[in-house]
Amino acid sequence: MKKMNRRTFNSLMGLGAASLLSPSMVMAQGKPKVVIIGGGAGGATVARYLAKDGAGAIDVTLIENSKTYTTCFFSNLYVGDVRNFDSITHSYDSLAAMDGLSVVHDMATGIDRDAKTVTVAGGAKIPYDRLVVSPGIDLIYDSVPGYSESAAEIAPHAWQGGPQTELLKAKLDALENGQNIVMVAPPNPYRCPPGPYERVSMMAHTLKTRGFTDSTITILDTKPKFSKQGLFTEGWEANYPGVVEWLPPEIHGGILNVDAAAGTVETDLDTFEGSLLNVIPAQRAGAIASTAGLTNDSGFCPIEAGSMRSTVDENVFVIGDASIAGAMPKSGFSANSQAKVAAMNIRGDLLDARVFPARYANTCWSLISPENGVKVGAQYEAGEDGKIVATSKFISQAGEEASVRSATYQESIGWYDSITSDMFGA
Amino acid sequence: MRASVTTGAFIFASVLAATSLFIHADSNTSVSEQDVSKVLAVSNDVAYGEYLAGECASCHATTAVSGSNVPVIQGASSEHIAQALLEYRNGIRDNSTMRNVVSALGDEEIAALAHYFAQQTK
Ligand SMILES: Cc1cc2nc3c(=O)[nH]c(=O)nc-3n(C[C@H](O)[C@H](O)[C@H](O)COP(=O)(O)OP(=O)(O)OC[C@H]3O[C@@H](n4cnc5c(N)ncnc54)[C@H](O)[C@@H]3O)c2cc1C
Ligand code: HEC
Repeated sequence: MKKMNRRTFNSLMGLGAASLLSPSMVMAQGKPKVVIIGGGAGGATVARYLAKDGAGAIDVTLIENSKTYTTCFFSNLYVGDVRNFDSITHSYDSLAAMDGLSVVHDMATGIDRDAKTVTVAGGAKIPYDRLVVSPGIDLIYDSVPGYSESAAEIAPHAWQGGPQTELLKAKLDALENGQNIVMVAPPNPYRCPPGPYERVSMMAHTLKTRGFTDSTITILDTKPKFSKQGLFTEGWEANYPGVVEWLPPEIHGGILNVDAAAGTVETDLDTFEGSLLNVIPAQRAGAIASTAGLTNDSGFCPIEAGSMRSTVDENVFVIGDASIAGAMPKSGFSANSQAKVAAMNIRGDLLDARVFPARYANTCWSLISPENGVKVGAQYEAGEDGKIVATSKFISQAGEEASVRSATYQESIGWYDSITSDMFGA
Repeated sequence: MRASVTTGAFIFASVLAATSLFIHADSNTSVSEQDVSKVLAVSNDVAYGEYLAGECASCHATTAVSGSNVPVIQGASSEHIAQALLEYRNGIRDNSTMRNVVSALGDEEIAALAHYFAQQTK
C-alpha cells in the first residue's frame, strides 16, 4: 500500500513542479508515452491493459480528476437499497501500484495535438506519443427548459456517479407516502439506454418496501420508445401496479419548463408535481473532447471502427461514451470492450505488437425487482461501411420463469465484480 | 389517471429477430472427445487466445464471486473449456449470454482460448 501512495505522490510532485525531471520521469525517458484522460470504464481499462500487456515497456499516465470512482452501473441498485454506496465506489490504488503506470489526480484542461501534450489544471504539460480520451459525458442542462447545473442540486440528474447519486437517494429516502416522483427521461443518444427505466423500477421498489401505496412515478419521456420497453412495462404492471406511468412526447406534447424549486414540470398536456424531480438532460462527449476538436456536429467523437482511433488525429483514440461507436450502446461494458481494442492497437503502434481484427461486445443487465433481472446483449465487429455493426444479439423474453430472471440477476453480480477488477485491478 | 402507453409489439418483433440468429442446423447433438481434440488441434496461438480472453474477463472473475453464477474458468483444462464452448455453440448448453459470446467464435478462436485459459493459474 505504501508503494502505491508514493507512486501517485511522486507523479503529482513531478508534474506539479516546474521541471518534469522527477526520478521516475528520467527513468521513463526513451520509452513511448501514453496519456489517458479519464479513469472510468474506458480509461481505467486501457491504463491497466497497457501496463499489464506492455510489461513496463510503455510509460502510462492516467489523468483522472476524482480520487475515487463511483460506478453509474449498479447505482440504481443503490437507489433501490439492493447495494450500498461503498460497494459501488472504487479506489485507484491498485492501478497506481502497477509498474509503468502513474495516476495523476487532476483535471485535463487542454490538449495540444501538434505538440502532443496534455495540460492539467495544476499547470503541467504532459507529453504523449499516443493519447486516449475517455471523459464520459457532459450534460446539456439547457436541453430541458428551466433546468441548469444549479437546479440539479435540487432536482438531481444522477447521470454521473458520486454526489449526484447520493443526492437522488437522499431525496428518495425523504419522501412521504402520497408524495410523487417525476422523471424527465433523455433523448437519444445517452449513456445506458435502459438506465432510466431500471432506475424507475428501483424507485418503485423502494416505495413498495416502505408501504407508500399513494405515491406514483411519472416518466415524461422525450422519445417515443425505449430500450427493453416490453420487459419493463410487463415488470411494472406485475410488481408495481398503478405506480408507474410512462408518457411519450405524443401524449405530453413536449416539456415546456422545469421549476426545480417549485417541484413542477410543465408540459403541453399538464403541469406535473413531484416532491422528487429526476431530470436527465441530453448528453454530449465530455468537454475536453470538444475543446481538443475531436467531436463532430453530433457532440460526440468519430472513430475508426477497427481500432477506436480518432478519424481526426491518428495519435488519438477515443473510447467509451464520448465516441460514436456505431451500433454499440453507450455503456460501461462497451467502454471496457473498446478499451481493449484501443490498447491492442496502441501496443501495435508503439511496440510493434500483433494486432488482431477488432471484436467488441456488450451486455446490459437491468433489475426490475429484487432477483428479477433482464438482459440485452450483442457481439460487434468493424463493418464494411466503416461503422461498428452487430453480428448477433439476444434479449430476455417476456413472461420468463422467476428462476430464469434470478439466474440473469446472478450473472450481473458476477459481471459487476469482474468488470470492476478488469478496470481497477482489485 | 391517463392511460399508459406500451409498444410491446415492437419488443416482440425484436425478440423474434434476435432468436432466429441462434437456430443452427446441428443443434443438440452431443460433443464427443474426438470433436474436442479436433478443435483443439486447429490452433495453439496463445497470444490470439489472450486477446480474445479480454472479452471473457468482463464477466468471468479470476476468483469466485459470492452471489454470482458465472463460473471461474482460469486454469480449467483446455478440454473442459473447448467442450463447454462447443456445447454452447450447438445448443446442448442453452445459456443465452454464453450462446451469444460463442456465436462470434470459430474453431480457431475456441482452440486459442482453451489453450490460453489452461495456461492460467487458478
Ligand atoms: C444510472 C446509470 C446506470 C448505468 N448502468 C449501467 C450498466 O448496468 N451497465 C453498463 O455497462 N453501463 C451502465 N451505465 C453506463 C456507464 O456508466 C457508462 O457508459 C460508462 O461509465 C462510460 O465509461 P467512460 O469511460 O466513457 O466514462 P466514465 O466512466 O464516466 O469515466 C469518465 C471519467 O473521466 C473523468 N474525466 C472527465 N473529464 C476529465 C478531464 N478533463 N480530466 C480528468 N478527468 C476527467 C471523470 O471524472 C470520470 O471518472 C449506467 C449509467 C447510468 C447513468
Ligand atoms: C456477458 C458475460 C459473459 C462473457 C462476456 C463470457 N461469459 Fe462465459 N459464462 C457466462 C455465464 C453467465 C456462464 C454460465 C452459463 C450457464 O449457466 O451455462 C458462463 C459459462 C462459461 C463456461 C462454462 C464453464 C463451466 O465450467 O461450466 C465457459 C467455458 C465459458 N463461460 C467461457 C467463456 C469464454 C472463453 C469467454 C470469452 C470468449 C466467455 N465465457 C465470456 C458469462 C459470460
